[in-house]
Amino acid sequence: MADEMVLAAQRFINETYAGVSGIPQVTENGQTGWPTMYALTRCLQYELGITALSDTFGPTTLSTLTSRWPSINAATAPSANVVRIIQSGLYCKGYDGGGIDGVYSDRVSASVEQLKANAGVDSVYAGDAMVPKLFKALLNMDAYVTISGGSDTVRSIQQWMNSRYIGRSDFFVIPCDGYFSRDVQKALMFAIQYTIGLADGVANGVFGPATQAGIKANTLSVGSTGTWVQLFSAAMVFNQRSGVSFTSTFDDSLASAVRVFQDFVKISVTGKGDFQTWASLLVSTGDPSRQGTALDCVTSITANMAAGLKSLGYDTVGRYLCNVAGTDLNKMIQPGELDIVMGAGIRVFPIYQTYGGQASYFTYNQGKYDALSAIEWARYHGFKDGTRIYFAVDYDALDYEVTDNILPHFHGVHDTLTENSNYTVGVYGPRNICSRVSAAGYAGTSFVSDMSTGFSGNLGYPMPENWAFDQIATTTVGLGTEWLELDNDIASGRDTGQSSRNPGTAVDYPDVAFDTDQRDAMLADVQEYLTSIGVPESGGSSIFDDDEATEFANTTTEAFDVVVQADWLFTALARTLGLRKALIQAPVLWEIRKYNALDLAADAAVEAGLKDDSTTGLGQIYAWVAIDARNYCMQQGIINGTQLDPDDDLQSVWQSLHDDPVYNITTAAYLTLYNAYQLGDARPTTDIGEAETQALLARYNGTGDAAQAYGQSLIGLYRTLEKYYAPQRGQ
Amino acid sequence: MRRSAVSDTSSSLRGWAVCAAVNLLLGCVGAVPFGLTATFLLVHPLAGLGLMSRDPTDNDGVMPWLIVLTVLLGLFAALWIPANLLVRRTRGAALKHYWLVSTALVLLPTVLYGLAEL
Repeated sequence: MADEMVLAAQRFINETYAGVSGIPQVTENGQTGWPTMYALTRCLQYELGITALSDTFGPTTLSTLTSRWPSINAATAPSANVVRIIQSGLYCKGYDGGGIDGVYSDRVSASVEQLKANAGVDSVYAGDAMVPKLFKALLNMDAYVTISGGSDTVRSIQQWMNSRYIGRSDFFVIPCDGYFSRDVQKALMFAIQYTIGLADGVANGVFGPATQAGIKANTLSVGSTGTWVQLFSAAMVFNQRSGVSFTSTFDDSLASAVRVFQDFVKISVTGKGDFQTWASLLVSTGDPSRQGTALDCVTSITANMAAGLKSLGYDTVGRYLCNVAGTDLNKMIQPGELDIVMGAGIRVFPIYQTYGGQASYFTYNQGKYDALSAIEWARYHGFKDGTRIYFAVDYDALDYEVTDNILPHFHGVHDTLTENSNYTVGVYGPRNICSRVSAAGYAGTSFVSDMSTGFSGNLGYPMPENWAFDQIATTTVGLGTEWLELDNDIASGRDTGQSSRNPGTAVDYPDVAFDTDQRDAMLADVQEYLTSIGVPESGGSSIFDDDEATEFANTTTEAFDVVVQADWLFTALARTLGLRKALIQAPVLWEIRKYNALDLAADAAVEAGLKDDSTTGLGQIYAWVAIDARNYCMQQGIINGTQLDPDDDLQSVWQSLHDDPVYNITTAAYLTLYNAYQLGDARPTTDIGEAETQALLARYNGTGDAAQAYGQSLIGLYRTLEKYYAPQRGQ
Repeated sequence: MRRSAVSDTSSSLRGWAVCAAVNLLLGCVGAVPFGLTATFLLVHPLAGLGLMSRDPTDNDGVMPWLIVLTVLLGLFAALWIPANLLVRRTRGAALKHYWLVSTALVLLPTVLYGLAEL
């Protein structure tokens, strides 16, 4: 929503500083945002006579402002434009600026005093004058009132820190919005360092040796009072420990909350504010020198190593299910390794990580693919039902990326893993990702990449409630004559990994991803075959030809490309279900090519309530057929889920088939298995014969002569696809 | 009288020519709905009697056909009827059997297509 006075502020910038090099025009939309704040910062720098203008209100701006105009009020205002900048900032922050008239009026004075009170610095900066550090606070996007969902307790701590430490040279006004953030976390670290006695310029907000030494010298226990207790209780509040208030007295209640926290993060339960407790409250690693009982590594573990790790106290190891295609790093579980490790009494939890270092990787479809791939690899290694597989997010995803990318990705992972296997989902990543994915219900436990202390997803976020493994440090250990680099992990006991395995299973000559270099040749063969059976590139041979109705729908090329684009899904489904992907692709490609106005009309009739069901979506599947196929697969234990009701679920299944191509193709794959059952055949495998293949393709269309003709047409299409797929998979 | 008779004959010929042109042209457009109608008759009632075969992908029943044919034939009628009313009013008010002839003419392209397919 546009604010008239913010709009006026934007006009002031554009009109007053038009043509000034380094001050860009801002969009006049009446909405507060960083562009307007940056522009106001540049305007102030310009008024100060700084030549190198910058978005940042940095040391130069602050020192110049301090030396030139240390206190601005009605009596000392240096110019009308400087006052206008203050007035604009006030409006952008939601205060009354008294107009943008360049007059430091009573209304401006009142708003500045209000701002000081909200930020907790009114006792330090008494009066109505605008002072440099407050000016810096004015020209950013921080809020100084509790915002939606914020905590009043957190805000009171924020105000307390501002009031107490704003006089220190490296401490600046922090937001007072009721939210624990990385800036607030850093301010708390500064506060601790000042309390230790570190001088300005030495205190740096980093949990370094001097800070650690200072904390070790100030263990708190019941009866302790003063600033240290205030800082400690603030850290407890920031870590969302229930029942903790901001206090200067370490009482039994606080000690009790500390014990709960210590047990939660798996450190010694002392009830005291000791070093390990401070560390766990202040940095994501906690005390990084802690010896974990779990580890993860990219190196294959030998018998020697396993024995050595066991003697060091490790009883659980995380290992990778597979390598990353196109890389040289051989990080996956090696043949025989699980037997060696499990034989040494070490339990194993699997990790699935291929790419995953940037937001664009993470999508719903990628999540589905990753889940199917993880199932295949987990079965290959023999992991038993109930194993939790950790899917990795190995980068510092910003909160909006978690919303836009990570959550949909894990939605796909969760849906697919739970439908297609008895494995369960874990999430590996920074705290914020683990917490949000788990809160959405997509992961049961978290493997937290806490050793990335600088990640925005760790700073300012508490430990996920469902954490299973806490990755705190990389270290190298000597194990006899061998050295092993490993990540040292604290284990909570929520996931103990697997102590034994089944024999591994693998599909013979599984289909592989489509080789796009062969797209043109394969398309030409498909076109030639279809033309030979009376299905030209588009439409039909005459107005009396059935295929003429497809004239305005899909060409052979378009149908082919739809199938190629979904090849990732066909391939993954085929590998997971132990089928040939051409067996699923052939009918889907055919149905897309044959799609016509009648199909459109049939769907429209269903949507209008004139019909209950129709063949729909890419694979042109009836909802009742999909229900039968999915129910059959559930009954056979091929997939998991709740049995679908032919009446109650008909509409929702039809809608999914119609709207969701992934659901439709997946159903086509299940239908292939169901059709084999309907034919009285065994479940199809990758070495399926020609006659059985043709019968299955025919059954896709039903029974009778028409279906037999359908199978006759599709077996040629299947052969055409297989002509390319067989060599690609090494046959 | 002679001059008037010549004039009437000439006017009548012009009227039929316009009628033929309009209906043959519309007949080319109408080949789509007429062809589909013919296909529908072949693949549904006749296939139902076992006299013809039906495309296996045509498995949603009769209703989609009825919807599509109703729309196409309706659109065509909305074009054909006003066009012929206009021709008849301006060119051939006295033409006998106008609607019979125009119907035959508009179906002619479809029939010729069909014969060419045989």
